[in-house]
Amino acid sequence: MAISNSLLSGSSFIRSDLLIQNQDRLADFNRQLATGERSDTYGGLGSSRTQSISLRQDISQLEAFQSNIQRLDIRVDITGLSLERLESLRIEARDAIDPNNFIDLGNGETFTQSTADALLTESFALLNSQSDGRYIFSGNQVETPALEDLDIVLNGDGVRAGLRQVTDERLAADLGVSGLGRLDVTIAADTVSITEDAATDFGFDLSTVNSGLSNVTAAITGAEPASLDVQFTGQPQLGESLQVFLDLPDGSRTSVEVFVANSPTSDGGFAIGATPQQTAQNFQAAISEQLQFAASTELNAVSRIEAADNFFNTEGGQPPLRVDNLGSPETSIGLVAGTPADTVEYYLGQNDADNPRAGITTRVDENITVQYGLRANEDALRAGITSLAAFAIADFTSGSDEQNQAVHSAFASRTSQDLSVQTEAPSIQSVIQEVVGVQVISGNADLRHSAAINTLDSIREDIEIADPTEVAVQLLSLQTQIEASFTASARIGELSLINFI
Amino acid sequence: MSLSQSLNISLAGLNANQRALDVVAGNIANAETEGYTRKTISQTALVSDDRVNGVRVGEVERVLNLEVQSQARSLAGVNVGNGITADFLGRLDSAFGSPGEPTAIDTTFNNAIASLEALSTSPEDFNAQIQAVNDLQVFTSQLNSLSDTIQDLRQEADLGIQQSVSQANDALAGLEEVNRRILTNGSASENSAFLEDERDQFIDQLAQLIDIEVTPTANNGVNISTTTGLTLFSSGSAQLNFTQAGTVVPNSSTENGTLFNPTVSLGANVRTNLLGPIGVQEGAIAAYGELRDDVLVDVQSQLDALAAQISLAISNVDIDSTAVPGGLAVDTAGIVDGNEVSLDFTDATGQPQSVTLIQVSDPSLLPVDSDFTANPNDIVIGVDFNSPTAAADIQAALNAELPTNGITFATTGTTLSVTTAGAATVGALSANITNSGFTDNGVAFALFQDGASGDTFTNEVGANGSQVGYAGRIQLSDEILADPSLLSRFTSGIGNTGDSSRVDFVLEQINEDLKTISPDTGIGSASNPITTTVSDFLQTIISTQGQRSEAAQNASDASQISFNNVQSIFQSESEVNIDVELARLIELEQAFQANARVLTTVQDLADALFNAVR
Repeated sequence: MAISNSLLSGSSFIRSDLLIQNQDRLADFNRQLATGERSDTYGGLGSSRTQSISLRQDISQLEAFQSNIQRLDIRVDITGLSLERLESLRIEARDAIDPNNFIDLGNGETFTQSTADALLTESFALLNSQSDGRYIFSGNQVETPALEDLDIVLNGDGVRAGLRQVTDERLAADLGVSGLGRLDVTIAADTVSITEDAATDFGFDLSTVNSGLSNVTAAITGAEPASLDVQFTGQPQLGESLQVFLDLPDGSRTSVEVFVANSPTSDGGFAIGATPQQTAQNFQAAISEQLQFAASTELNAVSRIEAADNFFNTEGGQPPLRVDNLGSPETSIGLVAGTPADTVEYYLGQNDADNPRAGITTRVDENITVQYGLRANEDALRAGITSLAAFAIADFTSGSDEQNQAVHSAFASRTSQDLSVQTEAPSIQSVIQEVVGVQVISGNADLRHSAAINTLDSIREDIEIADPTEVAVQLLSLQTQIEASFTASARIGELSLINFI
Repeated sequence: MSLSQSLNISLAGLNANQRALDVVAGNIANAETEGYTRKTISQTALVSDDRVNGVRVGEVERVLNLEVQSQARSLAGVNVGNGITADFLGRLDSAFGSPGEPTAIDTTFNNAIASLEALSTSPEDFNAQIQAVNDLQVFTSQLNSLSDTIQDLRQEADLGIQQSVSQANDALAGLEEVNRRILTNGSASENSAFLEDERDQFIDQLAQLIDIEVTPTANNGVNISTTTGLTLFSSGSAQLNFTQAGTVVPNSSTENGTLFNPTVSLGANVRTNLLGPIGVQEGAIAAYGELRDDVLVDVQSQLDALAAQISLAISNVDIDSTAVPGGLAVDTAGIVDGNEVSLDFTDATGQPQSVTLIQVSDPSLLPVDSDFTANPNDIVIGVDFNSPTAAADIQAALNAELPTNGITFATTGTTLSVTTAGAATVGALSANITNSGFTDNGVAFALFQDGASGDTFTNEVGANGSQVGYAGRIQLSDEILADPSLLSRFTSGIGNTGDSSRVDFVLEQINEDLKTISPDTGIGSASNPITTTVSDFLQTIISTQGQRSEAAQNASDASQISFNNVQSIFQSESEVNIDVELARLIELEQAFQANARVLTTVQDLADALFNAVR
C-alpha cells in the first residue's frame, strides 16, 4: 500500500498563518465599519496620507478664517449702527443750530445750546460704545474707552485744563488787552493809526482798506505787525465811508465800516468836526467802537471755534494746542502743545501716525487682511463733537441783545457749515463706506471658504472615510472565504488514516 | 541453503522490522515536537555468494532538504528583523495619532493655529489669549510626549539588543555542547540524527538574531559565521558582549559613549562591533540596532528641527546690514550663544562662498562642526563676538578654511564689518539675533523656552541648549504662562491691547517664513536641503513617518509570506506526517507478519522433518 507523499503533504499541513492573516483582515474591516475610518494611523492611509494631512490643515485654516469672519461681522454690524447714529446726530445738530433761532432761555443758555448739550452728550456716549466687548472708536486700544468723561473734557479736573479754560485763554489771546482783537487805535494830530500789537495770528489781521473818504489818505504799511494810517488832510463829505477788511484767525474775513454822518451813530457813523483833527478824533471813536463790536461778536465766535479745533484735533498723535504764555494770554503770540500734565486729552485710544483703519485687522483669507479700525479723533468723527462742544460752552447771554444775536449768528453759521458735508473732506458717510465695505470682502471670502471647505472635506472623506457599503461587501466576501477555508481545513483534517485503521 | 539459514534471515527481518517500528513510533511520538525532523531508517539486503543472507539495517537518517533549510534560515532573520521594525514604527505611527483625533500631532498644531487666528482678530480678549496658550501647550506637550515615545522605543531597542545578545550566547553555548557530543559520538552513531535536530534548533534560534552562514565540517560538525564572515562558531563558540545603557535620552549615542555596540569576540581576539560595517546585516540585532541608532534618531531629529524652527522663527529677528566703504557691516548687539551671522561673498578667485558665524562663548566647544547648520555648502565658524579678538579669530578661522578669501573682518563695538580687497565682493551680511525680553522690544519674543533650563532656546553649540532632543523639552515660556496677554501685548504697561501685530507676526513666521531644514533629519538631501515653512514641515514629518511605517509593515508582510512559504516547504518534507507514519506502520505490520510467517513455515517444515525421522 503506497500512499503518495505529495497527496498527503497538503492535507496534514494546514496553512494556519494564512487563516490568521484573514482573521486580521476581518478585524480590520470590523474596525472600519465601527469607526467609519479607513485607518487609525497615518501609516495605514497609504500614499494619500500627505493629502489627508494637508487637507486637514487647509480645512482647519479655512475654518479659522470663517470664525474670524463671523467675529468681524458682529463687530462691523454694530460699528455700522453706531456710525449711522453719529451721522444722524450730525444732521440733527446741523439742523438745530440755526443762525436765526436765537432764543434766550434765561438760564445763561440759549435754546440751541441746550439742544447742542444733549447732542454732545449722546455723541460722547456713542463714541464710547462697545461691540463684541471692545471699544469701537479707540483704535487698537480696545479696552480703553475712546473719550474722557465729558465733564472733565469741558471743565478740566482741577489740575489739567479743560476746553472751557483753553477757550477762555484763547479768547483772551484773540481779543488782546484792548479788547479790539489785538489792534491798537491811536491818534497823533490828524492821523489815526490802527496797529497790530504783535506779529501773531491771534486777533484781527489788517488785510486791506477801502477808503471813500475824500481828503483822507488811508494806507496799510508794514506786515506782521502791520499798521493802517488814516490821515485827515482835509474834511470828508457827508455820506462817504471807509471799510477796513480784517482777516480772522480761521482764515475768514470780516470788515468794519465807518461813514460820515450828521451825528455819531452806533453803526459806525461819525460827525465831521470843526477841524480835520477833530474829525480824526470822531473817526477814531467810531472805528474803535466798530472794532470792539466785531471783536466781541465775530472774532469771539471764531476764537471759540478755533480753540475747540485746536483742542480736539489730536489726530495722528498730535498734542492738543493751546495758547502759549499762560500767565497773560492777552499778550501771547502763539500756540503751544498742551502736555498730559496741564491739558485734558479728550481722546484716550490709540493715537499714532498710522492710518486709523490699520488699527484693527482681521485676516479673512490667506492673503486678504481687512482693516476696520476707527478712532474718535479722526477728522470726520470729531467734527461733530468739536462744533457741538464749542457751541455748548459759548456765551450768548452776557452781552447786549444785539451783541448776543450777532455772536450767535456768527457762531451758528460757521458751526452749521462745519457740520455740513464737504465734498472733498472725509465724512462719516465715507467712513461708513470704508468700514462696512470690509463686509463685502469678508462676505465674498466666506462664500469662497465654505465652497472650498466642502470640496476639501469631500476629498478628505474619500481618503479617510471607509465606504460602509464597500467595506460590507469586502467583509462578506472575506467571511465567505474564511468559512470556506475553515470547512476545507476541517474536511482535510478529518481525512486522516487514523480514522480508518 | 538450510532451514536454519532461512530462520536466521527471517529473524534478521524481524529485527529490522523492530528497528523500523521503533523509528515510526519515535516519529509519531514526536509529531508535535518542535524542531523534530522525520526520521527514516534504511535497510539493505545482505548478500554473499549471490545469495541473500539477511538484511542489514542502516542508520537512522533525517528527512531534510538542506537547501530549503538554509533558505528558511536566512529568511527567518529577515523576517524577524522586518517584524521588529514594523512593530516599532507601527507604535510610533500610533503615537503620531489617528487622523483627525484631538491628540493627533497635526490636530493639536492646527488647533493652535486656529486659536492664534482667533486671537489675531481679538488680541485683547482674555479668553482668546487663554485658549491660545492652552492650545499651544497641548501642541508642545504632544511634541514632548512624541519625543518621550521615541526615546522609550530606543530604550526598548537597547533592551532588545541586550536580550538578543543573551539569547545568541545561550544558543551558541547550547550549540557548542551539542556539537561536541555529535563529534564525540562519531559519524556512525544513530544517536547523531537526534542530536543534529537539537543542534538545528540552536542554529535556527541564532538565525533569527543574526544572519548566519552554516558550513558543515567533517564528522557532522558545523562552522557558523555571520554572512559578513565573522566567525561565531568554529571549534568553540564566540562570545557576544553588550552593555545595556541606563536611561536613553535624545542625546544618547554610541559616538558619545552613552550607548554601546554589541560586540563579538572569539577566544582572546579583539572585539568586533556587530553593528559596524562587517557586523550583522539582518535579524533581530541588526533591526534593533538600526532602530536605536538610525531610524528613531532620524524621527527625533525631525521633531527637534521642527521645535527649533518654530522657536527661533518667533524669538529671533534678522538684523540687516548697512553699507560701509568697501563692504557691509552688521550690528551684533545682544548676540547670544547659538545666534548666527550669515555672510555671502565672492572670493578673490571669483567663487561664491557662504560663511555662517556662530556665537560660542565657551572656547572649549570650538571649532564648530560644519554640519551644525542646515546649509551643507557653508563654512561654519564658531566665535565669541564679545571677545576683543573676535574679528581676528574669524579671520584666522576663515583663512585656514579658505586662504584666498580676499575679505577682511573688523569690529567696532558690537558692529562687525566685512570689507574686501581685490576681486572679492561682499554679497550679503545679516545677523539673526534672539530677542530677549517680552515688551518694548518689537514683536519678536520667546514664545517657547527650553524646559530643561527654563531659558530661551537659542540652539547653542554643545550638549546644553542644543537642538538635539529639544522636541522633548520645548514648552511655553514661563512669562507667557504667567501673563497670557503677552501673546498680543508687546509694550510695557498695564492693560491689554487690540493691536494684533505680535500675533500676526507669530502666524506669519509659522505659516510663511521659509526655513532650511538640515538633511541630518533624513528629510531632504545634503546637496539640496529642503526649504519649507514650519507648518509644511510638520506635514512632511507626519507623512514621512506614515510612509516609513507603511513601508516597514509592507516589508514585514512580504517577508512573512516568503518565510512562511519556505517554512511550509521545509516542513512538508521534514515534518512528521501521521498518515505517512501510519501507512508505514501498516507496511511494517504486514512485513512483520510475513517474517513471522516465514518463521512459522520453517518451524512447520522442521516439525515435518522431525516427525518423518521419528
